[in-house]
Amino acid sequence: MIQLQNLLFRYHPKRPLFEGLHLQIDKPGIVGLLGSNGAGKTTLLHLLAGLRFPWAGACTVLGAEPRKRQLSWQQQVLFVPETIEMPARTLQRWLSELAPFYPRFDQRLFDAIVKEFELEVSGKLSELSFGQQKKVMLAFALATQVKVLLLDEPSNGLDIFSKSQLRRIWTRHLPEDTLVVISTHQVRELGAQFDQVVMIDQGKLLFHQTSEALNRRFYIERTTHLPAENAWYTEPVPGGYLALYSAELGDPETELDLEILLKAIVEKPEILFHLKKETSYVQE
Amino acid sequence: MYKNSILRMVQLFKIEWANRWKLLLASISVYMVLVFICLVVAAQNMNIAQELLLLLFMLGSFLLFGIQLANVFPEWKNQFKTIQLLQLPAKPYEKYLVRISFPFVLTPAIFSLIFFSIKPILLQAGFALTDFMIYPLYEQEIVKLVLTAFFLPLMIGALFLPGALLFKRAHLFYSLLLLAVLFLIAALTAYFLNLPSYSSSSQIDGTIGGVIGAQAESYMSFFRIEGKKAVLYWYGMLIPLMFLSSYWLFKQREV
Repeated sequence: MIQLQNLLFRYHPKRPLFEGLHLQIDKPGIVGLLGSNGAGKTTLLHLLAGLRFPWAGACTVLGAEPRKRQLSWQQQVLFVPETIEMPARTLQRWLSELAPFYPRFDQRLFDAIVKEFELEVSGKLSELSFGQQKKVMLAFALATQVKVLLLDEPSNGLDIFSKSQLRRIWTRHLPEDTLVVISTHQVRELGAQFDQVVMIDQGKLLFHQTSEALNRRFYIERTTHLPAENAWYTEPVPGGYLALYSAELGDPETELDLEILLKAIVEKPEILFHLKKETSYVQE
Repeated sequence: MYKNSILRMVQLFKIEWANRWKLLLASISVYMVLVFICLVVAAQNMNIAQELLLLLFMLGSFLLFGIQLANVFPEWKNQFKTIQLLQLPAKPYEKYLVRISFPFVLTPAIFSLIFFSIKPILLQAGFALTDFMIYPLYEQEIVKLVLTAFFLPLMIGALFLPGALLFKRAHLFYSLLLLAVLFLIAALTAYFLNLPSYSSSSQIDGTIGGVIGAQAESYMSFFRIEGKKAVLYWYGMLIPLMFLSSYWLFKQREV
């Protein structure tokens, strides 16, 4: 569905943001795109959406070059930016203008998602709060049922309740053939939803793994005493420590906290070699 | 769902109209109020000449065209709106044509219609304008005028269109600068290559300033009546070139 080969992109002629970037995503599902500030997450989403053009290398999404912005392709790919600025239109008017451009748009699905968000829209969309505007935009994006949905920090601006509503909505309403790429810093809130995780840093792909594989490779232990020396990363938490270990034979399978993994990678980059190993030590 | 280009363009036009009708009609209304005041003042002095009417009409054509052209792609100032425009599922030429139709077609059309209906409206309203025009405009003259109102902004506006795609803000100003730079380059090239100039006086002193003056004079002579055909040939090439290049820039536009 997404293929990047030897991708080169730069804002400044002497400082490439991406150089020789390779990435292949074949299956639909939810992909978490992670990385520190300035790693290039938003730029990567722009490249995938055809909003920026690569300097060299190949970038294909659904088998087409995004930079060509073909009509049939644009009907299947939608990017939702982090900052939303809805127009001074009523919801009905806005929907009647935009929805017919997307052949798979489902009005009932839109209504269901809006209801699930507990959103009551009266008056103009521009008069809604930022969080409410974002909910409308996310509901619209999901209701278009595009094949590739690119979301930049979708949970920014949403309150705690809305974030859990969003997780529920994804679980219930996301079409099976849709690939959602989510760029986010809020890995603790959204991490459990990811089927795959892609991490980039300084224009390089650090790893691309399924969540299942990550859960098999590592396990997290919460202890009251100081963790063992072989822990990749430890963090003091109220009442003890949180430690990340490589999973070994007999270790229980735990759900990986991606935030801990990211911190571990920053502290000990050699963990990436461990990630590239094919063997899993956890009993199946 | 919009299955063909025409349906999509109609819908795009509706969206654009909803965004622009206030600016379009407000600017025309304000200008027409000014025209009305000018005419009433001139009528009191029994001094409405055809020239005044022509001047008001051409001034309005350029002013309103300029306002629309300055706002032809307001999205570039705002990243969210740029994203919305670029990723809207419609063919680039559909978005482009609808957008440029506002300054180049719709504005002169609406303005001409309103402007030339002002006289009967004023007479109907019973203002003291029985001797409204000493030299009344006849239908053929009005048609010529309206065509000029379309054609002149088209010629001049086309030069500014690529800038509307290149620059995020104040594109008219930057385009003007760019055109000035291009003129200077042409003048300096002429100076250094010792090219002949169609000027009678300015080049005599042989300095760079003299050559620039001569070049300007040469361009000005281009617009004189005897050069009409040459102007048409040049603009016949220049206008399509500007429109095509700005369309290409639109297709290549990034966030």
